[in-house]
Amino acid sequence: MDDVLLNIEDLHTYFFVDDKVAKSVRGVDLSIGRGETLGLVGESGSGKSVTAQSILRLIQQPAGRIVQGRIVFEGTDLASAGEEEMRRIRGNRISMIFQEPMTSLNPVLRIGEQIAEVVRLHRGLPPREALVYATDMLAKVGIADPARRIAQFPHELSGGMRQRVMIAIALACGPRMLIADEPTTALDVTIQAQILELMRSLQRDSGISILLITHDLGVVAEMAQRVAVMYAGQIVEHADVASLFEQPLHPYTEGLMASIPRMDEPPSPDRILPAIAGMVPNIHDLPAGCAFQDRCPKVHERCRLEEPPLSPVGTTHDVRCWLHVG
Amino acid sequence: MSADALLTIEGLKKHFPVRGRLFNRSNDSVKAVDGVSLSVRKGETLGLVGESGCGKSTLGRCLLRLEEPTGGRIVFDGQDLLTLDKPAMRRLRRDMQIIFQDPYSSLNPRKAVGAIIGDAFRVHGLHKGAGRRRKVEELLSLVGLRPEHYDRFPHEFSGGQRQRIGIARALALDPKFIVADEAVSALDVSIQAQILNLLVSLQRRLGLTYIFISHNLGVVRHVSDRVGVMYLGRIVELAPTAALFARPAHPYTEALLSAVPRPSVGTASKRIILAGDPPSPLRPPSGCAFHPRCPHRQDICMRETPPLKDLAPDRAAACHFPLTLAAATPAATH
Repeated sequence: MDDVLLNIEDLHTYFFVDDKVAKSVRGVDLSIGRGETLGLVGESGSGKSVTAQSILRLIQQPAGRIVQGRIVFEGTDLASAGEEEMRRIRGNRISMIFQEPMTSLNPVLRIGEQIAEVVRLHRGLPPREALVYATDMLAKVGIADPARRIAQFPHELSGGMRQRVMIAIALACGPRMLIADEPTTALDVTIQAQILELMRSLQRDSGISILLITHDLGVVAEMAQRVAVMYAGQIVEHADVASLFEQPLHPYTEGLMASIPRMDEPPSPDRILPAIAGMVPNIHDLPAGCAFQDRCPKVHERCRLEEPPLSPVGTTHDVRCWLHVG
Repeated sequence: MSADALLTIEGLKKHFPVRGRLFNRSNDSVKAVDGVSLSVRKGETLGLVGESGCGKSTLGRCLLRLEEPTGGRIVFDGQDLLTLDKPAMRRLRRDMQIIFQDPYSSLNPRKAVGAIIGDAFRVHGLHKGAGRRRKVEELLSLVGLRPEHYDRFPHEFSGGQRQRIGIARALALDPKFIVADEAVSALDVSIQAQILNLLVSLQRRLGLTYIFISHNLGVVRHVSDRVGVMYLGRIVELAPTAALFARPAHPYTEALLSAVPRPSVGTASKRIILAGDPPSPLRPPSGCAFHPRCPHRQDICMRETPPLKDLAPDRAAACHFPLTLAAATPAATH
């Protein structure tokens, strides 16, 4: 495929603390097409954020390490690229926005300066032009009165506006890919709706690819064309958004969808949700076989012995479950 | 006020003073809760929804007098709460408990679980000696933990288990009424479902009455019999759950419901994207606080604050032009 922008092959990212190894990402394969939004969903500790951090090599040092695999972006393997090369890519070709904009913005720098800094650094724009550019970027992300706003500090802005500023910084250099790690999780729903709409319209205009990491299946259903579901460091299901939501195949995905209290449907008369029993396995001590076995209502002998491979079911749907292998 | 009400609030206010910048002369205050009246019936779950800063958590804390209200009345089980002295209030707190969002920060990390839960018995001089341990072990079983957990510490538990500890602590004194303040918001979806199920089944077994505070509309729809929607310190809509979700009466409720992304494809409903941010409670807009963001605003909305008015039996909204009944009744007759 020549419309693939980023291709991850067999990525393993581990954390070495004391004598223990936390295998946070255990063999992830993913690709993102140009102009596409790929949703990466999963619960805390599933490895979705570590996968994203691996792409930009922002894994916590020195404990974290990419121990295996390739991350090919525009012909470069990011997993083995030098630090100099990564600096050219970060914030320039691939940008990232996070859940909590306040912690990623510099509290003592005016926001215009924070945007201008990026284009000065990567594009070599002179200071005055960089500031004009910053004002344009603020207007582009829907901030009213940008000429006044550039002189303000992050604490003077609301949470929604801060996330708009983060997006302006992220998009300032015209990157080809945006990694959005829970970009709306800290926002109220009416503000979330604004930010999601903004991301969609910016994507329409620029053709940027988005890797959207979230625990919110609603956000994914609305934003993504394809979705990968992670559990205990692996992708357990991967499909186009329609088939994932209409016909989830992995018992974990099924269970996850059933356990969401729906605001668009009345609850069952007894108000008991079909919950997934138990909790995620300890990442330091994973069982042999399928990582979901102890919580799976459909577990059988083989699941406890062998780990199922991620196997295709139809052309746009892969699942890692013995029930759906060959 | 209905006869079966366990709790009735009238005109409840909580204003926080704001220090002025210049010579400390400011008389400003943040009206976190600004005249809330409602009642909660025995055995029901009243959901309270709204966005950050709307005052829902402050309201919940005022009900237990964890915050001292600035004005209004709270009648719980026939007693006027704000007139009670400290010892009387302490006795009454046995009947009223709260569960917080972050089970980790609300559990003392240096105390074993048994001591955390049993603390309530110590304070109230109940279940002395071996009886106390037995009672705590019963509570642990009740919330789906094991009696062996008695001697463990909070850090040894997962987030879901810690919330179970928080629930056991709230249940220790056999309360009638529980405020659940974002009780499942910090939990992953699969664990959230387990805790919601626990809260629902405990309510049935123990005949509990809940106020369930959450920003998550799916969760609120799931657990609540009635729902109150808050905006900038006031209730703007109060209705039975099914009716509220089927036909919201306040334009804010309508926009709030439409803003939630549905976890399904092909069902995209018409979204109302509100412009701007919720207003600052420091500088509330004139008239209806929602008017700067309201797609239906008229002149009167900028001048007059609409009171919470009955629209139908059991349904009320604070809006000059409520949606459902707009066609049926000539609005804004005053």
